[in-house]
Amino acid sequence: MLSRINPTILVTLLAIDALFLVPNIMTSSPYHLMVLTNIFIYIVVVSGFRLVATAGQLSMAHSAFMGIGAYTSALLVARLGWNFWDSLYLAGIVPAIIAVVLGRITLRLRWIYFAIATFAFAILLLKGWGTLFGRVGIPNIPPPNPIGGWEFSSRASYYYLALVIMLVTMLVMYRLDRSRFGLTLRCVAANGALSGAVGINAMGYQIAAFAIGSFFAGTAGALHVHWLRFLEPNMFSFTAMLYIILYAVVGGMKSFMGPVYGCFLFMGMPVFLKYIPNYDPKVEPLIYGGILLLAVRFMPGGISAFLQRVAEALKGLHRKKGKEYAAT
Amino acid sequence: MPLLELRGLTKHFGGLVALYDLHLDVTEGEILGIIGPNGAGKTTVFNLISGVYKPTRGRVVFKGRDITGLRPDKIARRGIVRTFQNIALWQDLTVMDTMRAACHLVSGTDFFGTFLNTPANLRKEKIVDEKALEILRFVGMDHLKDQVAETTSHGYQRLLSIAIGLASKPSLLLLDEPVTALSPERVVAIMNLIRKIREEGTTVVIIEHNMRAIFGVCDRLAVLNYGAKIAEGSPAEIRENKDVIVAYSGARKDVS
Repeated sequence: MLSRINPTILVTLLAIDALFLVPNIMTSSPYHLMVLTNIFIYIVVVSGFRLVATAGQLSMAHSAFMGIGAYTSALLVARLGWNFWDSLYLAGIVPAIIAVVLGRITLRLRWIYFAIATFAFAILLLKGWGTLFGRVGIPNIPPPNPIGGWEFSSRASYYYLALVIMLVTMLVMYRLDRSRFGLTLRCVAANGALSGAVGINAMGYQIAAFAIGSFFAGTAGALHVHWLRFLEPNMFSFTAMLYIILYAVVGGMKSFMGPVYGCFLFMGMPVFLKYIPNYDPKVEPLIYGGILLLAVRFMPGGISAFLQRVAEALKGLHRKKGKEYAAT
Repeated sequence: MPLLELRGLTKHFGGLVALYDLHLDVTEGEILGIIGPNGAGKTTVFNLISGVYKPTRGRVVFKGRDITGLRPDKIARRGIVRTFQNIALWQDLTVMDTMRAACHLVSGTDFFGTFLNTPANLRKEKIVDEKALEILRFVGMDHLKDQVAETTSHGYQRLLSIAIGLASKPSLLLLDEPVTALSPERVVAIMNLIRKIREEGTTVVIIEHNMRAIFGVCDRLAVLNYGAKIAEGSPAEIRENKDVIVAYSGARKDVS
């Protein structure tokens, strides 16, 4: 009976359970809760980026879309007094609409040209934010309004909020990956000409992926600034974009789980690095760069592909054993 | 009324005239061959029909409606599907997944159905799987359905690209060099397959360099040279045509 339970589902459920229990165990350690909350928010960001990449396009404007979501929500709540929950979905929808418009113009361009065009858009925005809404950004962003006795000003409650939004995102990404939509996206990325020949509107699918990915970037951006309680234009700079790519590539682009591995590895690492005596956080980019090089050379397809190969090897071993038993 | 009419199709690439003033009709139910030396403009014709290129001048009329300059996916939706000269596959997909993807137009699924994986969607996908398997059986490669498409042999990849073309049940199938670099037995098998496709009601246009194959299977042939049509007729007529012989031998006008 026990063997009928899918081990993957079991491990997933246990992991989710453990994540829900974390605040109870770590009440005395706000630092670790903070790191985990940040990881959850970034999993949402990187998942969106991976979805756009699944359709074959490298969006260099992903951190910029985070910024659009963050500014949308921060301006609505801090300046116009909106309810956070009303602004949260607009923080996703506004970037999605902008992505559709930008996509219609730039998605004709392949590969590096699309990357350059989106990069230009990101730089334009980065300069634009300061000019439009002040170089200092937006201070004093209020935390989410309480719902049903839940106050989101405490670290633990925000941890739960980020965790739930991350889990919903992962569920969406899982379904997108497994559905015909995901299959078609992979086809568009692998061979656009052939996809067109069998009647797939390649550009339409790329725009859809770009919009959905940007939706999640914007949502996560809003989540991020309401957590930090302030916003400054530099938070959505090219550096942020580089980290998103780093997490996505090392985590693995082919599986929806890739962003989870990438974010946990890189954002969790500083927690352990701190134990090294005389450790200077300034060397972190150096370590990250080293890991990226090693991963690209020795783990093609990132951590997710590596784990899949390990799982398949184990399954093969298991099957061999089974055959031996059958023979005896 | 012809199924497909090409009316004065012309395509320039910068100063190069790839195709000049091509008039050609494709009749419903026939197998038409397009032949000609390398660089004669054969693949350009396919690219113009399937919407990969927009013609400089001229019109493409399909089932009486002008489809000139439409997007490739819209042309596929009208019922014209083409294969590619350099075998085109979706990297990493298994043969079965390739066929599932190729059934895009006939799957009848919608985004929310497939996203939520509703029972209605599951039923539709099951029908798609049956259709996909049926086509794989039709071309004779259902035993390879779980293999990654790109790891199958060259011959099977050629077969699979025809199967991809058949998936959306086109009324006109354009095959770009379907038997290039295949063994003689395989060539015969694919020619028989093409006859079977026609019997199922699909009109076929073939570009091919293998003369024995194309003269054997086609009802009619059109010959291109330097971007212009130099002859059109039955295989027997083409075999006797002096311009064609000159174009191919590239030599004396007095060949008879």
